[in-house]
Amino acid sequence: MIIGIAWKNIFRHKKRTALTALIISIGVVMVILFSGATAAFKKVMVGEITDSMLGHIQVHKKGYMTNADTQALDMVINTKLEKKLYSELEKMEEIEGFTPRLKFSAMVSNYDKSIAMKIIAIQPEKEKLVSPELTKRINGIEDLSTLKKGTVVISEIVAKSMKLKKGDDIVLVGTNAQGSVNGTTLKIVGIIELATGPEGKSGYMHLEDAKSLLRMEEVLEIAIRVKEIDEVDEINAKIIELINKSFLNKEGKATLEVHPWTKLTNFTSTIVIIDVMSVFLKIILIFIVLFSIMNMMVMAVYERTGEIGTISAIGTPPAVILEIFMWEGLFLGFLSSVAGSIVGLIVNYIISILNISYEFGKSSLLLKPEVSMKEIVITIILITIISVVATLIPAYKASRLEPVDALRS
Amino acid sequence: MVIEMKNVKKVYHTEEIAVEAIKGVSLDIEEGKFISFIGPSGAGKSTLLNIIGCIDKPSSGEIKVNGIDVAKLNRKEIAKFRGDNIGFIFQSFNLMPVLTVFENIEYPLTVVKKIPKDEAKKMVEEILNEVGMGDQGHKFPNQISGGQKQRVAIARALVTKPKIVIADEPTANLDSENSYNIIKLMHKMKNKHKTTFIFSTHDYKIVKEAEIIFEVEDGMLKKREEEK
Repeated sequence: MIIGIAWKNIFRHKKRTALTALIISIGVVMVILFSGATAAFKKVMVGEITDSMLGHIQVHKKGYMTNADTQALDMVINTKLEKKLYSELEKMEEIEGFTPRLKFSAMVSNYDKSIAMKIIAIQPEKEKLVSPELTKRINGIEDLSTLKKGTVVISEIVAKSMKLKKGDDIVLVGTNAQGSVNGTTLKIVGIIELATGPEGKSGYMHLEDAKSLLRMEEVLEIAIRVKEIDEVDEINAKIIELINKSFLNKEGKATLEVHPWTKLTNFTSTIVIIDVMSVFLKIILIFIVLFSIMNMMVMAVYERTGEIGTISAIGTPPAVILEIFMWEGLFLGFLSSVAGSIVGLIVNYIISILNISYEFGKSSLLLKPEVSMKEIVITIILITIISVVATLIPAYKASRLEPVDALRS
Repeated sequence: MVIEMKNVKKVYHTEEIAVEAIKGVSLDIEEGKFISFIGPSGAGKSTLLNIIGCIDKPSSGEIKVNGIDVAKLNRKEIAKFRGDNIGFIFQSFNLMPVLTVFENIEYPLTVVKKIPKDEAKKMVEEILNEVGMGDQGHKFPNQISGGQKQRVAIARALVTKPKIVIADEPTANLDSENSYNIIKLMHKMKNKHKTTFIFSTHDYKIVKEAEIIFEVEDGMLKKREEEK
């Protein structure tokens, strides 16, 4: 019966309840819209960075990340370790694929002038598994297999400044770790668009050509793609454990280092900023709920003082009076947050079918807001708890009223 | 004795002065009596009823209700004591507007005394019939008249079978016909349930129904009329 009374009480002043519920619901809608939009942005950006550049995890020689020059060719993984690592990675079912890479700075010449360019040398067949979206950024290539030996993909900025196009020949000059300079002629098969991210301006060539050019057999990094991106940290830890156990030098120290994509790009800090903004928005929502519910409950206690006196006089224990008001706050918070969540999801759905896209640089963001059920449930639980907390003080005051004073009011 | 009061005083303190509302009242009331406190407004009738009804505490003196020294009970215990022993009828009826007539009477049974729903239903139906409201249980307080509201309030006060029913000016908001009917009903219910009824009024017309009449004046009590 207590729950029934509380339920009926919240509809006593329909306009006031509706206004309070509306304020809370609007707050929840804003949080859901923001979460949906930022989740979509993060997903697109993370997808672009991991699927077309970094992969999910990278393995390097120990000390690579602390080296000032992250393309230093003396920080290579030797062939023996490379093969041993492949055989271990093949055993891991969580891994979709892995691929070796070489990264170096080179001079590109069109027989007229020269320009510097960063090159990532890849094994196209293996790279396809790790960077499935890479071809989308390359004009002129449908399949990464097109990047055969003797071909190169140059960056857009190099193509423009040297007036190069697909089909033209260039000479690529590289310097190996020992300082030996060598050059090779390559045919341009594609122009890669600039993109946001650590390797958004690099050109691509075949790994075998790069090894031949630099007269080396080793690779600089091994990029790994996992089946579930949410499990990256877990799998990263598993590979670290493997390396700490089986890839040790004579001093018993690990010879390789492993990093998830989050440690390899500055975009992680953007994600942190977005998450902090999201937390801020939730804090604002908490205050909206806190003050709205508290205000409504203070008014309710004030208006119902006589009634509190009556039920108290006829023997209602103070705890039951407290409980009635707590239920009211809980109902109001829960219903408002559920209503806000439903409206938020509908608005998110409408935005997603409208196919709104934003262009920034050469990248575009198709706004497909997504909010996980987990986030919705957490928001509803949070609002409900805050509503109950906001009710505590007025409810406690109501329960402590002396019946004679309350009746006299 | 269902009520024993010895030299009970009640003093209200304001910032500047202290007002003595009850000035040393001693009173013994036997079980099952129909008692009226009569007197002008501000004489101390309500204060006296509040103390007897255990919703206010005396500043000094002793009061035992149903043999219990209620001054020694804490907040929770006194609430339970009221729920078990005392029923209230208010001048403004004080029904809960969000509950139906039936639910208003059911409230003290299920919420206060924790009586199972089925049992409570039978008790409510029985008392509703006794007060002549058997067919009005589904209505909300704003759908019935003042006289009917007071009948519901009487039913709510009696449904838990209390030892004492306190009625502070129960007819103040009713016309003379309804006032008379309510007093008659209270009297009838007192006879049926053997409950001690104590009501206050300043209406000399209805007071004649009481078995014992106490005149309250300036915080003091004097018995005006002996048992009929």
